[in-house]
Amino acid sequence: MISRYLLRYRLRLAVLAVALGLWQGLSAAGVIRSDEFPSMSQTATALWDQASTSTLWTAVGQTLEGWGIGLAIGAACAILVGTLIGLNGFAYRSVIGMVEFFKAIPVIAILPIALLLWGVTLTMKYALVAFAVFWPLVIQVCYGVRSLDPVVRDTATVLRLRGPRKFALVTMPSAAPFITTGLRVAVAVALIVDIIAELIGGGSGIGARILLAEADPSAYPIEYAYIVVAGLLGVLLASVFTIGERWVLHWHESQRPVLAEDQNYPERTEVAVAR
Amino acid sequence: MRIDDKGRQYAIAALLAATAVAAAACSSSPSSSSTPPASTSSSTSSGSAAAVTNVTLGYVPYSDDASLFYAVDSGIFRQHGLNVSLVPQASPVAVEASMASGTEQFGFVTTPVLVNLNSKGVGIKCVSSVDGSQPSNPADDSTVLVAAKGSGITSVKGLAGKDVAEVQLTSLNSLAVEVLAKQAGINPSSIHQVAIPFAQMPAALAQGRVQAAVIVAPFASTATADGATVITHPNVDLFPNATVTCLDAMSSYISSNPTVVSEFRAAMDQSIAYSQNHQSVVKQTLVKGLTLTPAVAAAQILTTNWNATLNPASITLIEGYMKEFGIITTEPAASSLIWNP
Amino acid sequence: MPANLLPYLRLAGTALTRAWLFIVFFGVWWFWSAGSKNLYFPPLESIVKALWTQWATGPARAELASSLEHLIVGYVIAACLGIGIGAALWSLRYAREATSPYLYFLYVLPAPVLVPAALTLFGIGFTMKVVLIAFAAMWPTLLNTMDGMRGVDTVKLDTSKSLGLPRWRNLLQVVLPAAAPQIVAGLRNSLQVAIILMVVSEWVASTDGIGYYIVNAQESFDYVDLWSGIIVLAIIGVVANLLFVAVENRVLYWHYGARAVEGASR
Repeated sequence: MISRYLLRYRLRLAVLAVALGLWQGLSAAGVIRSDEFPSMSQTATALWDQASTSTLWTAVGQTLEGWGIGLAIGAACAILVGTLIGLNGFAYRSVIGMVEFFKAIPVIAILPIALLLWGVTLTMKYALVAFAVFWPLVIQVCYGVRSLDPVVRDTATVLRLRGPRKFALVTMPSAAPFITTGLRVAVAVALIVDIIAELIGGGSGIGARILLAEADPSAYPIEYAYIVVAGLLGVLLASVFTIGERWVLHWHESQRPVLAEDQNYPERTEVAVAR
Repeated sequence: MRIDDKGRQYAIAALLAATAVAAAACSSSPSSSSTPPASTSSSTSSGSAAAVTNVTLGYVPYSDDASLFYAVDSGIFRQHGLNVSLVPQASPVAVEASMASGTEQFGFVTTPVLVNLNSKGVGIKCVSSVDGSQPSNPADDSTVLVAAKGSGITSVKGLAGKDVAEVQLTSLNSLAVEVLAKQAGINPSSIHQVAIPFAQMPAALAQGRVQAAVIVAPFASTATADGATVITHPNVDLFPNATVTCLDAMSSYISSNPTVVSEFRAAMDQSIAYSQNHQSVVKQTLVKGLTLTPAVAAAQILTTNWNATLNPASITLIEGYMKEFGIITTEPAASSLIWNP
Repeated sequence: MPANLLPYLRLAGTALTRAWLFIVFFGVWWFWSAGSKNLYFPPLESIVKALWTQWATGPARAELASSLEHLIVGYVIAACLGIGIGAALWSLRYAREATSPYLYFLYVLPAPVLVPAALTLFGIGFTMKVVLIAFAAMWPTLLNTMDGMRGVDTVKLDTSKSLGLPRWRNLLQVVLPAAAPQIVAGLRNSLQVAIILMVVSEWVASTDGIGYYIVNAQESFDYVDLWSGIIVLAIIGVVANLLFVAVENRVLYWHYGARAVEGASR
């Protein structure tokens, strides 16, 4: 058991080493122009330098601010609205067209409009994040609320559960895995949108640091260091979320095979997705 | 069938939490999103009793911001009663959008953008220079038109039918290429202009994806090291001593905050005058401002003739070209585009 | 007579139910913005006119065609790579375990930060855009394929083993069909990502496409055109989604049929 665990980690480290080595090799061999693209060692040095000052951590904090507020607003509204639509057929049929329409708008396309409304501020960031998170999550929540296992539904009917009791005891727990799946995607989407808003709009945060560093080739290692930070932050947030999800949903059957088999699989994606 | 008690508790807690957060968010969310302000007065805390006014300025990071950075870092703005927060943005277009939202009071703008917006009814005026006007000496100008190695282009005439890289299709550089083309006797529309960020231009030239580019330092030296040849300095040719960039504010803000604006102008003029004689000191502000190393910062060329007076005649000239090439349909009076104390 | 009309009335009723909120929304927008002199928020009427004169009958059709071309090619490549690599990683357990955290890392990287690198490596034009779209859009399919195949009922796997099916037959006839609903969910997500990347890849250093159109409109302060571009993007997204669902229903009819028999509420 232990040896298999260690083996997995050794393999992962090996893959990382190979990838980084390849990057460094390509740079050193001149396949990648050194004035266009920094080498692995330069980027690593820049990353270390940035991490030892407060700049990197401040930037991460600023990004997380927009991410967190936007995610909270978007998710809360989505859970509310999605539940309401899911429970009422008329509401569902009325709203679903609009939701699909707005969901289809790529956030980058409304960035100019967001700049006009809120400028380069925290408000702009979290408004965009909330917008991006809301639409797909509404559909996912709605789907979760509607896709009640027929056996469970019939049992609830037999047990004469109705109204708020049925909602709290039956519908919500049944919808919970769909909601958490949707939230897991929302966590990643929120981060990506936040960084895009900073990169193209400006202001503060990881994206803004990348923007600043694009001005001069001597700063490219810093630029790519922050790109790496963005990816790492995403992985970290997803892992934290998965741990939280496991804790909240430990009672649900969908968690059982995961717990039994593979402890480190934060990338598990959708259980099911709304149609 | 019994649902696990813990599961029920979690579900109810989650629902209550979601409702609470949503209620808090919906009640505190900004109400400014309902009516977009066209020309709104700003929300700065310009208290009459306060000694210092807080203002926000949106800028595009590049070397000529040195005087601006210096004015902030050395306290010149503070001496004039201003606490200026600088916000980096990707382009003047983004800066103008932020100013329209009211979250920024001052911004960096290029003359074509200034003219374009005014011709479309948005009132913005230049308040001060960034670090002076366009130099007339090529040695001071880092913007060059280069031809890729092996493209066979030796003059503007050779651009006919070729691909030319510009940083932005509505920029002064791209207008300059069209004007130069017309002056050289070739059809400007035969030139195929492509918008590429400066940083990617050397690669585009070297790989032959474009045959020429209007490029600035430090990327220009990368391009020439690859064998690209300098054809001319378009802005020196066409717009010597012109106001090609400036720091601006919306007309509504200027009329409601005349003191702030005149202090801003005075501070920038002071910084620019200082910068002229202390270039090495001022260039070091780029270390923090653009995350450059001190050596790289010291090596930057500042594209300026250090004349901080705004030049309306040059704006009229640029407007004329913009109208000629169909970018604008009406030409606002240049005097209305510049604020004077 | 009333009996003949009933199905049509019901159809009209359904259509109205689905459409009324749209109508109200656009109606409010129309009247609220009518006569607007604001550069940035023009009257909806001008935007609709631009939709017609530019997109339906005018020069922007070239941008539309160009964008769709990049989208389709990039998406097809992404789908093939996603399923192919996902299936390969599923079969090779050590490869999967070794690479899984890095897959997620690449999935989470915001696409616009990859644009400068893509420009450097692939230049401007068709290749760069297709590569970007394919690279970014492949991850949802890849991750979902791996997930779906892992989640296959062990009973099925045991049955196939006891029947002595060779590996490739097991893969093609047992595992992939069982994982199909999840793979299709991934493909759907990939389509959305592909559309976003289609726009992003045209945002910088492009000479055609909807992204280029929108950026150009923004930089020329032609906000009527900008808004029309945004609406066109939304329409593309909705149409792509509808097409996808239609295809999905045909391909997975056996799965949804089985679920319907079980009585799952839809």
